[in-house]
Amino acid sequence: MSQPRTGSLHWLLIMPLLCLLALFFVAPLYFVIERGFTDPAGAGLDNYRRVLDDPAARRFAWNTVRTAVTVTVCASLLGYTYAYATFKASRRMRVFLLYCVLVPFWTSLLVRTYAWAVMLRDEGVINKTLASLGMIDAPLPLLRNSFAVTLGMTQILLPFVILPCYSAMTRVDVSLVQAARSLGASPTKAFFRVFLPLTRPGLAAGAFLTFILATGYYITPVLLGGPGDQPIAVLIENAVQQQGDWGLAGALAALTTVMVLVALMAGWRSLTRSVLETGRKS
Amino acid sequence: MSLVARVLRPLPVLLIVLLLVLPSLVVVPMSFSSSQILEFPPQGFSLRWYEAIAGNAVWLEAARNSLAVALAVVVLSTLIGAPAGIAIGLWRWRGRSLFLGFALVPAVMPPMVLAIGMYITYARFDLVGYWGLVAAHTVMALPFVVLTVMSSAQLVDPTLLTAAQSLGAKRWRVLVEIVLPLVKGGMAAGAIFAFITSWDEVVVAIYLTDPTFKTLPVVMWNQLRERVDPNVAVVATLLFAVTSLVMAYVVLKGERKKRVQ
Amino acid sequence: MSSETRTGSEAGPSPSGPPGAAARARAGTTPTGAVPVELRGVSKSYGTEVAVAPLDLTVEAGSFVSFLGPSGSGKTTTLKMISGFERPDEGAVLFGDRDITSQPPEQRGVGVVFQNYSLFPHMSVAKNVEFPLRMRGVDRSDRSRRVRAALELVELPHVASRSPHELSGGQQQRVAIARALVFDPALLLMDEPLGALDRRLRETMQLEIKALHERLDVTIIYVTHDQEEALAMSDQIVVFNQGRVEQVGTPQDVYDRPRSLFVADFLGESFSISGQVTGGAFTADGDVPLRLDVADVEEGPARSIWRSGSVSAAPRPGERDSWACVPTTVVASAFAGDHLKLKLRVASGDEGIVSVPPTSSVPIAGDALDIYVDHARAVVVSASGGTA
Repeated sequence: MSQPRTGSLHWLLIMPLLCLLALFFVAPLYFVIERGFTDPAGAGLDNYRRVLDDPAARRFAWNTVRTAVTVTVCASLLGYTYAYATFKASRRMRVFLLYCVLVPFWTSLLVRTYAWAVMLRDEGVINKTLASLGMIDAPLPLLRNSFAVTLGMTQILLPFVILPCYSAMTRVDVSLVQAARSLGASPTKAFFRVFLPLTRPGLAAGAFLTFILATGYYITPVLLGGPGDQPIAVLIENAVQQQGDWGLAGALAALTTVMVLVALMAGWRSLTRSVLETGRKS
Repeated sequence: MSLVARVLRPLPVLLIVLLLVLPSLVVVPMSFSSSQILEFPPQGFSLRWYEAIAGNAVWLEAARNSLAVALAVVVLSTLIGAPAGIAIGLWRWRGRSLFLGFALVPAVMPPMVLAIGMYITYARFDLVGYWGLVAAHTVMALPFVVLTVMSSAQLVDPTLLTAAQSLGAKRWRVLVEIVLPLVKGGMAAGAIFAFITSWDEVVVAIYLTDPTFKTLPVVMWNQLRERVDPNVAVVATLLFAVTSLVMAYVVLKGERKKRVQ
Repeated sequence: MSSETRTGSEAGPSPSGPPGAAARARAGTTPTGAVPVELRGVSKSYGTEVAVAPLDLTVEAGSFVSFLGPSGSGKTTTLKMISGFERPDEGAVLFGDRDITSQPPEQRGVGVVFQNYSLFPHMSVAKNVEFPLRMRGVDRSDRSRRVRAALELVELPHVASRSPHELSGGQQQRVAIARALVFDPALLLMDEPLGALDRRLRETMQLEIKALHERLDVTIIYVTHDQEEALAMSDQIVVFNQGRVEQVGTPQDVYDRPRSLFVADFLGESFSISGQVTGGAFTADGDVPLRLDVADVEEGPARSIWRSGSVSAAPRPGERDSWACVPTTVVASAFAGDHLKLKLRVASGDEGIVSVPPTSSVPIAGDALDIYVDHARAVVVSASGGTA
């Protein structure tokens, strides 16, 4: 059965959203990017030159990308493992594991981040436990470094990998894996040659999503990171709050936006494929 | 399988479970602390911080503001996002995936970029404060509504629409009588996500609120950056308790329904 | 015997007359009554792919007509043009005198039954059946009366308050039929309605649908790819192939007197021999000793076709005169209880499958076997005109 004819009804349905986004999303984006070219008057590309010449800006950009990549790798590994365990688990266990994925969603991101800070600091539960066991003499430096940032952000972004991976796994025809086994593949081989390739779109979607979201993070690096872990968002914030330099902020915002859009386009195929196929099981 | 292997095998998953839930759970004991500062494990047990919250006008006011914003966001984003989600999920039309991409971009934009953009733009139209924040959060919540409604609309069997039309239903009537009831679940899920998005949002809220109108996350953020006492833990625990109960109810109800079918 | 292959045919007159007319006289209830359906030169293409080539067809009021063909033959597209879900590129669709070509489906008043039942899962059975009445603004008391009547018609009044997923496949399809009939449509379209049911249930349902048609004053167009179903149920069969109508006729017509090799093959097993038509006679190719007198067949390459009933592995006593002997080689054989299934090759290289009455010994592959075919029941079709 082909899809029913739509005529122009779909325009009527998407029009409110188009208008809202144009007014309250596209316009703000436009105005902030415009500032990058016009503030101070007649700035042209000056702000961009300043960004490129500024070693601090380069450092912040590097921090952003480095953190995003690390977090993406960690979240992908852990997320896929967790999704696979969920997929293989018994019914009761599966409900429990899926419930655990949702727990982070209903605790404030701020609070979760701060909980890490409390646990990781020198007098925190981890250092105290290790010390009382006699495993360490001096407290381990767990807070205000990349480790803390990676841990905090991975925790927050993990569900964005787990959910698309799990959904991809439920769509795999299990008989294909059984067929591979019957044709002589070991369980490990069947997994890597058949199951993993079949679920790769879900993993790719989750990884792209994690990377894109991670580049925009602000709260977690500020609360958990050291001076060497601050992302571009902090630079934008400083430009606005401390220097009132809207031109610089505009240029930085434009560069960040471009970075996100490029990443989005690179991952577009796998993202839309995963998104548009979700639920297309039957 | 050897004993060691049997013990070790579930270990990675157990660690990930801890990673997922630990930060949410440690807050609870911290809120019952009797000490002046936020710490874990807490020193002594007391309800003093709960009493402190109950009598604190700033927190109560902020909670009321957050709730007012979040509810308006739920209503607006559902009214605007659900039709779009239906249009994407139900029919194939030219430009569909491009539109989907456009509708989803706000969810992946760096919040700081959104924040300063919205700040300078909304300020021009005098939209800072309640309605400005509602508009901003609606933009950020829409992708979730579109996505969830789209997913359920994709599950609607297209021949049901054909059948309804052949039985005499006009096209808008098909949408109201057949499609809407069938995507109700997706709309509810979208509404929950929209609520959480607004309720939990910090960065944009910092820019679009003012001293007379603050939301809960903004108050928390200020607290965390200045002086840390178990107030924050109490608020977090209360919120966690409420949302856990709501979600548990939703999940259990969903499970029972599945079992009946 | 007409052996010419025609495409784009018109329906011949139904030999027995439309049964709906009698039903109308008996029932005397519906004010509208069954309508005839006429397609005038309708065609439909998707891009460069021709789904339906220009097609003329008349379906008589009150008759039961099957659209039969393989998938992709254009039968479903034609059905959609009648129901209004596809707009023909050219041509017109008429219900009686009314040209409804540009009318949207919801205004055509046509009942449609789909293969997957398409019951609304969020409504009870009664609400499903009530739906078309509600869409037509029928008032409440009238609605409940007609819902009950429709459910009684399909013998399911006791499931009214249940949810569709609590019913079996057969029950669901009966509810779907009740829903499509409750608003007294003049025309009922059924798109492979029994395709999802198992074989035994399908046969029961065929009889039930047939009985419903006898009782009601409605024209039924029934799409199927199952030739047995079409033969068992229809007043008329329209055979589709590659977007064209190969033949229109009664079940006996299309089965016994196929106008093309395609029709002959699609409607059942047949045994055919290639040859030439010259001077009003068919001569088999190769060394096959066969000659048939024919009329109305183009000169040139042709095939003669026999249905299983006119083929035998042994001559029947007393019928020798009209039976011709054709030497063949057995390619494969299978014993099937009351008959033998044989795959045979004749000297010209043609192969065919026939069912013959069982003989004392089952021939095996490689055996030489003389086959007797009935002269009088041979059908000769032009090889050039055939689409197979």
